[in-house]
Amino acid sequence: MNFINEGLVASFAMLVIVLAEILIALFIARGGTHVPKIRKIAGLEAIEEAVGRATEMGRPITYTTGLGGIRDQYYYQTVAGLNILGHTAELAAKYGAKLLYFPYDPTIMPMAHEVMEQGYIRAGKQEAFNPENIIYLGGDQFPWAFGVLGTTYREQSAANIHMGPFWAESLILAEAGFYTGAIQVMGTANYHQIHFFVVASDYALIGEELMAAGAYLSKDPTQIGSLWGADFSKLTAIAIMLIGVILTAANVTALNDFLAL
Amino acid sequence: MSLVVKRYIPLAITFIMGFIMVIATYFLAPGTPARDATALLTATVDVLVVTAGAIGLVALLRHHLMNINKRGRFWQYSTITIIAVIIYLIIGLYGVATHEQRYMYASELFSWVYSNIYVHMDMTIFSLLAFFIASAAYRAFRLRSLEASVLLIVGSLMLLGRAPIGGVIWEGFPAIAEWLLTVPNAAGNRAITIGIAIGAISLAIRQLLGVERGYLGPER
Amino acid sequence: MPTEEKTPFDRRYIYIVLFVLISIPLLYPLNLPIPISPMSQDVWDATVALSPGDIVVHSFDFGPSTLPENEPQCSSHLFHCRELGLRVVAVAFWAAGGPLAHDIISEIYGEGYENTAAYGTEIVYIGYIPGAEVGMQTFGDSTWDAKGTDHYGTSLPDLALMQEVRSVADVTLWAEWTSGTPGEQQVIQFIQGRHQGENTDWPLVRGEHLLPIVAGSTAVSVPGMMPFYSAGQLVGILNGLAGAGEYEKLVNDVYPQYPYEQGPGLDAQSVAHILVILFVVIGNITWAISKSGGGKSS
Repeated sequence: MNFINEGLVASFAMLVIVLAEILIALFIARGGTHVPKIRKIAGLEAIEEAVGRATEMGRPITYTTGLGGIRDQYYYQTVAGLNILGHTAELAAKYGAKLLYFPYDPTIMPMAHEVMEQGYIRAGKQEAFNPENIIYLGGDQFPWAFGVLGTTYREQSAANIHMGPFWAESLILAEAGFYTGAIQVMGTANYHQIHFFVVASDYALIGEELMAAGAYLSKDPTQIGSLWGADFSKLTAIAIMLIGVILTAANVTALNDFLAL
Repeated sequence: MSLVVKRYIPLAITFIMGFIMVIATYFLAPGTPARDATALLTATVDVLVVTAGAIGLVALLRHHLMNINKRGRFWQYSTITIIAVIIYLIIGLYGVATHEQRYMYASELFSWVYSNIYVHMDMTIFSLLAFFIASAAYRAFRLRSLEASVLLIVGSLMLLGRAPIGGVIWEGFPAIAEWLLTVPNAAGNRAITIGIAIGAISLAIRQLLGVERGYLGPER
Repeated sequence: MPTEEKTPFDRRYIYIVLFVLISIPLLYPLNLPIPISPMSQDVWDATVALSPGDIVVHSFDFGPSTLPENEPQCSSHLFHCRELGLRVVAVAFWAAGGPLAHDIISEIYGEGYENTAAYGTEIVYIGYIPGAEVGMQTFGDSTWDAKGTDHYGTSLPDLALMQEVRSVADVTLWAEWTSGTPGEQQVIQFIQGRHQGENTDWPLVRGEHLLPIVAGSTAVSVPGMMPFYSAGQLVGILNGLAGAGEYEKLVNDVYPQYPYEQGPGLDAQSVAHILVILFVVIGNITWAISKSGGGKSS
């Protein structure tokens, strides 16, 4: 009897390697031995500009975290979106702009409430937090998307921020923002929608930039350390691919056999 | 609420559940009672989702009722929403109560509304995407730089290759589109997917260890 | 800084032109020839390779919005399965797919098929299984545990076909009709990956017996499927409306009694694609002119 389930040996080995790399980097950064520098992510820097513009124009900010909830395998994008929501709420509180958030899945409403309130508390303006600005429009893709589109038009949003998992509604939301003249900052890790965001928005977060947002915005060395560790994991993946190509070209199947275990 | 309840208990639950799921996936063989027990654990998420559905309904009604009450912007639309929600809810519950199978979709009236109203409205909204794509294409695809030009040319080749007219104009278009899909697209997709997967693991580790907890709310 | 300029004229002109030009081929079909792509041919080849009596799961994971793309894909494949004498277990992991699947199966197997002798032996429709990925995983592990009864209230153990389908190891082919999540990636992850090697009749992929999966999806999602296709995790793909039309043509050529045709839809798609290219060209020309105007407002 195998100790590890059949077919998952290589997967487990990879998980252990990735875990080790991320944890080692995380603890090195936490200990202060080496705190890596993180490159600028233009999309995240642009949020302050977007909030500032909305404040100047006296028009609201529209924010969504896509079609994600906490129950599906895209939850990590939703959580990343919520992290950025907290940052946006803090900026909105600081500048006195109105932030409208549209949750898609009711399971994230309590979390969104907490995250937004925390943002207002950090800015020292808890009293300005209005839970009525978390607007639930239904949990069905297109009714929700058109609810957001309609509100964006009616309220003439000056900033359109969408961070999380998106599907066919991505271009609908982007077009709505374009026609209200909003500054648009969007990010998703859904491969099939990234191109819409890149083409139609002013700033786009691509794939893992979204997941790095929480660490980037917190400036916490421990969290930034985990991003550094993830870079080592990527180098490991590249090394495995290169070795695989060379071995396959040389008709050596050892690596393929191991990956099939 | 104390910090223990607000912060430490949720973090402990997150860590323990994550740990159980890793153990179940890699070490508990499918079909064993222990593995079935973890499957039951994940199935309890359904209970949470159903409960949240009820919260969603209340939130939706509350938002629109308040808009009507305040005579807010376009409050008339809120009236339509509330009437539609209530009518469809009654039809669904009536279907469950009266049909022998106690199943909403088995009710003829519910199915009629679904097939003849909902389906068409949903299809209409989705088809509007074609118009948005056309206007976005007009506006956004510009020969601004080398990268933008490559994007434009590749997009045009895909458009020609994935419709019958492309093959009529030149028989090479479908083959080019197929190659673009299976070679450069698959390569880029793999790179992005690997990056996203590692980024997601990194985020999951931060959450399981309680390092990243912005989503948990204020510490007070 | 916003990087895009406003459209110099009302965008509704673009919408009107698109609407009018798409309507023409729908009313007066152009009958353009339909070339068969290798991905669609692979779906056909994987299906005809099966033996009569083999069990195929049809998973209806889409909503009404993408019905025009997904319906001809699954209808033609379901029809093909019926003609080949394959036995079908239909499921839906999308709530919206539940009633749609009933309508589509009724079109192929006949209205009231659930009351015929074939029901329970040649076809079973389990209906909507809640829980998305979790429901999918449970169904793969143990079909009876995923849902107690079929779509029509009959207990699954009471259906002869379901006595033979206790887990995904008893399935010969999985046909995934999807437009989002849960979809083909979840089937690969939570069903194919978890059950690899459990049936030695499944084809060998990188030294492991893998449940063969064919998928049909909206064209926008297909680029994301390509790594799985080239890795052999998906054996064939019907790519959007074009893929649907190609499979309908393949079916029509062998079974002229197949009642549907996709020609006009594909003609309209051809016109739409050409039109979008024209919009891009016109957009670039007007942009170039406005740029050379040296800062004059357009």
